[in-house]
Amino acid sequence: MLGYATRKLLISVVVLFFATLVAFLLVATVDPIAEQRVFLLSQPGGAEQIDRLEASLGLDKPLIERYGSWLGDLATGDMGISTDNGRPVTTLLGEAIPVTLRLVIAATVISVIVGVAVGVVSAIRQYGAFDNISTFFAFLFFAMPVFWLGAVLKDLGIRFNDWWGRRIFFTIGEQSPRLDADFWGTWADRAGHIILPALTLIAIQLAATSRFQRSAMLDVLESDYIRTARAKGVPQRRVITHHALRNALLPVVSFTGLTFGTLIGGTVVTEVVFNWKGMGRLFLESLLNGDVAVAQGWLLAVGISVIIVNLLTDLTYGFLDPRVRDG
Amino acid sequence: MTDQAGTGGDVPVLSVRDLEVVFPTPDDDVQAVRGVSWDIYEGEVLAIAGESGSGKSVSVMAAMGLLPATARVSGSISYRGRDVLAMTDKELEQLRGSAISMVFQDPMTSLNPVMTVGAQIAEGVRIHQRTKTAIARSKSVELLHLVGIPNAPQRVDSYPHELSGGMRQRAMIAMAIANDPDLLIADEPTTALDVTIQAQVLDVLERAREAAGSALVVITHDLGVVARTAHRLLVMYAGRAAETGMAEEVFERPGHPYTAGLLGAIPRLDAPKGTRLMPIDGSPPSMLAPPPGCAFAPRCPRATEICSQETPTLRPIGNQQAACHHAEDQYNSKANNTNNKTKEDRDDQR
Repeated sequence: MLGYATRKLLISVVVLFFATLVAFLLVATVDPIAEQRVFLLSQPGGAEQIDRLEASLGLDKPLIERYGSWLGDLATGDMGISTDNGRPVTTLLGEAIPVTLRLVIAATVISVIVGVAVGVVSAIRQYGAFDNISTFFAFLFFAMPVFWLGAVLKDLGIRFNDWWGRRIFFTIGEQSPRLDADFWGTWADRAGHIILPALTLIAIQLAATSRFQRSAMLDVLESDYIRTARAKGVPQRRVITHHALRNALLPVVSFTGLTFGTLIGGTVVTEVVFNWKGMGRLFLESLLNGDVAVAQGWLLAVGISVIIVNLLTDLTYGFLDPRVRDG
Repeated sequence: MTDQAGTGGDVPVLSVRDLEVVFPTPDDDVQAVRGVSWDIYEGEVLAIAGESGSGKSVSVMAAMGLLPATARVSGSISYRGRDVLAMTDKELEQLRGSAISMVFQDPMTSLNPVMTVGAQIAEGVRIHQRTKTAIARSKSVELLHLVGIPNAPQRVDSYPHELSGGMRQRAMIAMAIANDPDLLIADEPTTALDVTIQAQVLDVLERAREAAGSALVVITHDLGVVARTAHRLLVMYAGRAAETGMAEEVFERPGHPYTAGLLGAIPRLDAPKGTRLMPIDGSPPSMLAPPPGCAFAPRCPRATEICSQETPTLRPIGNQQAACHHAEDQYNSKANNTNNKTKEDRDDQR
């Protein structure tokens, strides 16, 4: 297991290096002074001004050198300044990442736990009432557009608040603006804000997870080693928990790792619908404003997150399946 | 067959009577087993032989209560006088792995890939003997040693994928005899293995059977396996018994053309040079709609009109019983006499 973990870690470092290279090149190939260039060239003495501008931005140096100094800045925690609002990119990311992580982790943990349970029960009682009902809802939610589901949930939340006479569900933002509360008060406020967007993500993720778990479980229950376990006199409950589930978790682990990685950068729709200032919003705004430094920083942050999540997925997989460890 | 005396006692360990198993499918019902009876006595080795789809595996799965819930089972199966078919799930769980246990065909897929072989053997011990983990573990080492796995104390922590096919099948056997069962059932125990390993595994199976003091049912399509191990033989065809008797006698003078066909299809080292194997033409009938009369008739060289009209039942011929309208002709045929001549050679081979 230790050798396997070391191997995976080394691979991650290599991938990380390539991620920085890609993030750098994607932005370095864009000319940051394209507009000025056109304007200055029509002016007398414009060529010299362009040279000065290029020198001040370091554009006159070879690409490899620029990459080196960019990496150096990165190592010291300097990812540049937003051209839109003049704030450091690291600060913007530092604000957005926890917001998105809170949402994505809450949604993933709940949808995995519930999805695995629903999938297992569906598989054990295949074509039973529970299986049919959960299959129906899984397909229903899987087919639902996120923005629409989010909007419906917002509407339901508001109606519920009116009926209850108190504000339980918050539909805007990740927490109340100018919130002044103690530790528990802050978390209570955040909980009220997170329920609806988390439900939006859960509904769709849960649908997929439960279907994955169901089919994996059905496959495993048909396998020869389950028959062997039963032939040994292992009680049915233990056959499910000790023999079938551990094998049937493998595909779900891969699937969850993949979706978690994409969710960190990809909850754009949910964040916009609920007006959360997370990673999705940050990326969308940086694109709309042509804010190159922010886009680059975002790209890198998401890349690193995906690498970390993949590493954790691999380690979990290796822990569950001895064949992978030795492979 | 009911009156047939066993070699080890008067009360059979397991007694199967008029067993019928039907699998409902969307198209039609598959009649996998159509009325089979057999007994196995203490210390005895019974071989059930036949082609794929003859119902041999299904009939023992029924005895273990391992058939899918959709299967319709009728007739009776009794273990030492207790009705297996009427048992609750709990009673079946206590029976399986303790009184009756099973070795499966494919050791590559029959072991749980995410558990060590030691843990899989110890699990059965812990469940049935309620022993502590440490004791169950040392019992696993002992069992692995018994089935001839080298370095058993280390191998106990191996995962199935770290073992060869032969080693895995030995581990399966160790698992099956962990609780000294009364009856061991081996379903095609050597079919999935390399030829070079097959003989070893059969030896291990025999040794394990002796160590556990069990009776053994070997299911096989390979009469070579039967020749090595079995006291008694039951040949099945299309869900019914074709022939049954003492293995040696049936080998010498088969009373059913199907048995004779199976024997003719075994490659033999002592056959004169240039002798060709005699395949049985055609293939077994569909079990969705088995033909009327004798199911073997369409492939049988001795078939006459009566064969496709009347279903033959088992009747005595010599010391054995055969379900054939032409059993006498087969039993007394010249081909069988030539079989006789080489009997001594065959004994040498054994």
